[in-house]
Amino acid sequence: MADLGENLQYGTVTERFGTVYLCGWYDNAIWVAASSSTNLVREELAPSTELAQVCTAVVAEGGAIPYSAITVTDDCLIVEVTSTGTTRTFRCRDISATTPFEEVTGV
Amino acid sequence: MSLPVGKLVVYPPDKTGLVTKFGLSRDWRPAAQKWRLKGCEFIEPLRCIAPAATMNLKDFDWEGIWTKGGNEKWRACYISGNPAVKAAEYTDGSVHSNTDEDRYGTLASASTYMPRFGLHIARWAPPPGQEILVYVTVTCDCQVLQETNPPTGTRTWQDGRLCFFFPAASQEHRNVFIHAVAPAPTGYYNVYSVGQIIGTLESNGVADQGPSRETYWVEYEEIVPFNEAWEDETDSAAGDWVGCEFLLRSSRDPGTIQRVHTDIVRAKASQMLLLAQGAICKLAWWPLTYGEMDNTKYPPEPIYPEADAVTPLPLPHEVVGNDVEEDAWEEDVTWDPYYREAPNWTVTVLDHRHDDETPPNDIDVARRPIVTFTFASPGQTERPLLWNVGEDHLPTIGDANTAEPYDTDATDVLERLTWKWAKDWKSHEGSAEYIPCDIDDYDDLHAINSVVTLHAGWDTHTQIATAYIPLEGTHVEASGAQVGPGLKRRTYDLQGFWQARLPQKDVLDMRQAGGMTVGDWAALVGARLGIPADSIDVDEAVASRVIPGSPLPSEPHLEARDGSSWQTHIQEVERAATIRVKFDTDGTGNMAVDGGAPEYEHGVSTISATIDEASLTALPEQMQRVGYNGDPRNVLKATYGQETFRRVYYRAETLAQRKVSAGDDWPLVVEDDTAATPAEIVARFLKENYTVEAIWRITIPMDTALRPDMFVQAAGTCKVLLANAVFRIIEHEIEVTAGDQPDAVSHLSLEFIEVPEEPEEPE
Repeated sequence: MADLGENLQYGTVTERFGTVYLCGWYDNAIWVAASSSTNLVREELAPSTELAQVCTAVVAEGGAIPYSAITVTDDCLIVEVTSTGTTRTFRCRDISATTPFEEVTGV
Repeated sequence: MSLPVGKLVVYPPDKTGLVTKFGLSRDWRPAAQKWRLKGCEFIEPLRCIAPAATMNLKDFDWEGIWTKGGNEKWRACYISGNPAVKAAEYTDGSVHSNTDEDRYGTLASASTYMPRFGLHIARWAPPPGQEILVYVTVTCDCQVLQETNPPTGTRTWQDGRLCFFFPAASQEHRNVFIHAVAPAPTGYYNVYSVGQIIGTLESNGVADQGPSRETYWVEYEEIVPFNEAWEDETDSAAGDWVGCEFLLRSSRDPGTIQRVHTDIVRAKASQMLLLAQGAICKLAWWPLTYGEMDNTKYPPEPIYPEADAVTPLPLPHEVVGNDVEEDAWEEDVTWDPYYREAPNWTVTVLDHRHDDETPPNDIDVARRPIVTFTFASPGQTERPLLWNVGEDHLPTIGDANTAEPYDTDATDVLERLTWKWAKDWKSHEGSAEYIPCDIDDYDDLHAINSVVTLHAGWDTHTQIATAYIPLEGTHVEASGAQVGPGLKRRTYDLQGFWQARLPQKDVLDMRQAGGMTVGDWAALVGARLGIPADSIDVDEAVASRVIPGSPLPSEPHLEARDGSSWQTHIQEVERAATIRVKFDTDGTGNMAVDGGAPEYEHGVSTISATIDEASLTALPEQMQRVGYNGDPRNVLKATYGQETFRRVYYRAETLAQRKVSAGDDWPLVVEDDTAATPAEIVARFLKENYTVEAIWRITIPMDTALRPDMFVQAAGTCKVLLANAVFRIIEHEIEVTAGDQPDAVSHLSLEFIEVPEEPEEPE
């Protein structure tokens, strides 16, 4: 099992009930990983899945890697992704779903 | 020609000795603040003490062992805390509708458990607009009692499902509750539309309004183990079942145990099923166990739970200011714990140990108990429940008076003797009348409370009874006209132990009978009444029978309170334990206990005498119908069961039956708080109120061998009595008269039993 933050870049961390959630950019996407163990290794979020994709974030050669930030509300995970001056918001109510994050558009 | 003879032998009151050291018994009941508890707890709703489970969270090691079901949205994780424990996280916090098939996830255990568990829930809030209820349930197997037509209909236990429902508190769904349903539904079922809610735990987290962490502990106890109470699952007459208890508590108020009592549901060891829906949550479930090892020792040692009574209670002669002889009370003590047993546990009671060797705590004796719950190995899944501890100091009876008795044969003064063996084997009584003679003063009278043995027979006499001269039982008549000039006639009332001696004895320092065996209780009561141990005879068939306690055994039951009457106490125990206490069954003043009058069994039971009407014609009073052996009724209303679980049963003759029986309706109302079924009440009704027979009083020549309970048979030639009918003697009174026309008769009160059918002669 990988360390919680392995390969993830430009992200942040949060916690709820002893589980630490961390987001970051890797391989042209924003991902979320979680761990509740003391050695902070990644846990499976769904069978054979240690990373939950928030959104794709393709970075061209030499391009800027987007920043992402995660927080926990009472009922869901919120991830903010900032890229080239634009911030998009994503929400997760089921970390084990096939598409765990949906974009919150305000509509 | 045979002549009747009779005599009295008058002994001093202490013929067989008296109490030389007083006895004392006490109940030590579990109560808050009165016991120091180590490794055990006082269960307030049950008022008992029991080994305590470890309340800390334990790893929920489910992954790869428990089976995922439903939407299978579970993942392994830890819950932070002290210690951090393994848990299962239900990851689906999406909005669902009630028709979504994937709206819940389940985990099913691989092993079977009784519902004794801890459950920790770390809840997220449900999403806004969540359409389904938000909850976690733990479900297992149970059985639900089906009462179709008590008591004659079959009562059956039907397999069902038992659900512990832990909702995320909301205005509508506030409390944790227990739900049962039978027959067991297949698949998902709605607890609000099927089955019944049998109890709730006030959870009251409704104002938390957000994520929370909650821990619940669920324990299950059967006061009388199911397998002991019911012979099988269709046993319609199982009277010992008093129900079961679910004990619930939550981390919001862990010191308060909520008791949920039910007598129609019982849990079974089964697979546990966890179900979550409506919100993300982490769950840690672990079975509660009892009995631990002390791992700070090497090798580890068991830590046996202990309950140590706080306040010693001295014996009366140890209290300064009491005006009693030194060492007047017996100091040797035996402790008798009354508890619900559990496999692999033993419960022992000893005198409190003396760890403090400094005065004044270094006294030789403790006068308080310490109860130890010893387990065979740690991690037991069941535990014993301590209801009460009995303390007994048995009295010593000795110093028998061997003074020479007074024998009426020596002076030939006995003129008339009567004695009646009562139908309850208790209220025996009679009288003795002496020939008028010249007596000088009061000293010529026998002392009150004297022990008197009665002897009677034809030509030679044998001892037939032991009586006592009661307090006001000595009479002297001096009448020139009636008795003769200068003469005085002495007459004595004679009574059995029950009437002569018991009323003078208030109950003091006696403990409750509930929970004792009949044998132990009889020995204790006999000793306290001053009856030597070798004069107490308990029928083996009832000696080991446990006298029922209260439906909640920690409640006082069949107490012999200070100042109450021994007679009342004995009669209460007789009714509760279905036994009979008899006095003077062998004529020597003994006490005997049995299960009741023997049933007649034709060809087996002994016929002790034959009543032949033709031979009775010479007697002035041969046969009389004197009443009935019961109180005839034909309608019954029985209210039975504990106050909170009352049921009512009716039984009435049909109109046609009432027209030919009483020609009227004669209702009887019975209330019995302790009966679990109406079966006992109905049996008593049938015996005492429905099948009522005439009682005959028959006078025959004295037969000193006849006693109550014996059977006699009418001769085949009888016309008034049914020919060949068998009767039971319920009372026997003899009357022996000396003088010019000596005579002796037996007056028998008889109740009809049956006219036996003789087997047909083989051709």
